[in-house]
Amino acid sequence: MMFLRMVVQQARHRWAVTLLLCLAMTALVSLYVYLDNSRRFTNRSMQLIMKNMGHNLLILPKEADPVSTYLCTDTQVVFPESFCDRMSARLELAARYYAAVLQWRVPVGGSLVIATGIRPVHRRDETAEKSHLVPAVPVGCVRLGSAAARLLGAQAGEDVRVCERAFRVAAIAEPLGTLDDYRVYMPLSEAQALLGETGKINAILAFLCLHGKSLHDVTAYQQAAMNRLFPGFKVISRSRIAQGRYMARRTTQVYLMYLFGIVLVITVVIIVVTGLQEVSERRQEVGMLLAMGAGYTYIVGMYVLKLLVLALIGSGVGFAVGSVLSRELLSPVLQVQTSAVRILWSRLPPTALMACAVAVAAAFLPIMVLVRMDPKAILTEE
Amino acid sequence: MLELRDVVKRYSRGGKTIVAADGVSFAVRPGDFLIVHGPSGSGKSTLLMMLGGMLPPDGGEVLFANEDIYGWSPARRNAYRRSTVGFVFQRFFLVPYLSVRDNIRLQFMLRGKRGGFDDVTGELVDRLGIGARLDHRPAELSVGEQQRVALARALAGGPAVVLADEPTGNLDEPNARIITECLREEARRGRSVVVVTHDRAFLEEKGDRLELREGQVVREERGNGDPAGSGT
Repeated sequence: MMFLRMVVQQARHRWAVTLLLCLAMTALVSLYVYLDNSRRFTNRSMQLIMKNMGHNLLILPKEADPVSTYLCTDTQVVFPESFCDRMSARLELAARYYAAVLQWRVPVGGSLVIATGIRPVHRRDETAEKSHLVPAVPVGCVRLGSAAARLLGAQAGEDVRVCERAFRVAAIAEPLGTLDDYRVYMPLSEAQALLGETGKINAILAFLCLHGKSLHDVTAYQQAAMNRLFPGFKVISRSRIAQGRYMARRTTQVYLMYLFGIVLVITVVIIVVTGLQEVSERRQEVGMLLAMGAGYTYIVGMYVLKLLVLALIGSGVGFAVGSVLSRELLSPVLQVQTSAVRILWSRLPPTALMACAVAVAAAFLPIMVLVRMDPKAILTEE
Repeated sequence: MLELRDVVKRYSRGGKTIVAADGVSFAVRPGDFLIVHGPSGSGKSTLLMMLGGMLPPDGGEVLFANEDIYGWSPARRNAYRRSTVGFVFQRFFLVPYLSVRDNIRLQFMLRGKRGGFDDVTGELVDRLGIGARLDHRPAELSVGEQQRVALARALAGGPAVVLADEPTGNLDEPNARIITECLREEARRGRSVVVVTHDRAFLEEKGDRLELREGQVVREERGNGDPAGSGT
């Protein structure tokens, strides 16, 4: 009890330094929480933005000519749909968010549209939120590209005829300026029925997930894995999309980490300087405590306990401040999101642990000065 | 019994060697009130620190109950200081953010005592006349009161040995007399008391004395005032 009472009384006696340390820890933790939330919610938001740019991997049988796929010619090679399910089941592959596709040209009013049967195929390690990146088309419905809608003269909610079959227009996409503007997306099973190609597809689309690695490394890994597991297929990478995602994410993360690093250094400097000042001011007290038989463990223990308590207080307050800042500042910025920016309570324990670790690590130098004090010299100085 | 046996201590300062203790030997028994005096730099404080387990000698032994305290582990020496030794210094060294009561209680609790603080220290507090100041901080006390609190802290819990380094150096005569009389009373109660001092009030009274010069005992007088010879 005396030990604890001394810690509390010390903190009160030097209340200004105690307050400064607490504020420093609060600022550090607030920024850490804000940066951490920014990284998490920004990543999610960017993934959703990037998904609108389309899949970045095209997977075809080795004998298929990619040109025929790009131009949607009659020479596209069909192959069993089950290959898409088998690829998504192999978790060692770097690709996710597969889509099994059967596409062909359909003449419409002197022009052409691309009928595209599509079925999203989910890996079991995809989250429910991310699975929305490749939405399925409702049965009996179509999703039209902007140009296809114009050629078919269709509006959302109306009926349209494709290949002598009626469909309800579920949605019309915004203009993209690509071939996808001319697509008529329908459920894969209905496309297969229209073409008489039950159980067949002519392309597999996927996202190449980078997880912080370089595009070159992941592409090489993916190619090697595909050669081993599915030697009859080839992978064509639309690298600009993947690279764009990678660079955007990296840029944001690096910027935020530099900022956090600066704040961390400032906080450590504050702890070190106030610690050295405290050790200097308390040298007579330390000398007397040693003369009374308190021991360095007792004396250092008081100092460390005080820092830990301040770190915990700072992390609690900082977590609250950082979380509120995240919610208030990120929500209006992140326009594309599937869930609101929220308080991540599960991050509180590791955040508190980080704050305590920083505090104790920063206290190393003051503690070294403390244990090197010569009590005899202090107690007998004039 | 606390004993120094052929103790040697040297310091190096600016390339020179200073001999603070040169083969010093003496013993302090329970009930002894030993005054150590001599000119500045004669090694008085050095001997006190060695007796208190805070300064290992370069040669010789410091014995308590026939055991060399510098042969003990640091943890055991800490325990020796906690339970056996009470230090009093010229500059009090009270903890500024603790009340008088807590300053005294600190030593009491470090000695492993838990209950009965008020009962045990009540008589001591009354004897030193600081009963009305227990809830005050050291900064609110006079110099004399602070030294009396420092003495109460050193004696709280009943150490077997009391080591005082110039305990009356900053005090006026009335406060110096209180301190002196308290230390003598502790010796009468069976403690071993060693006082390093220049204070004439101590030196003019009868008692055991040890005179040091340049790290050597030049004169030792015990009890009846007869010289006991130099202790080199």
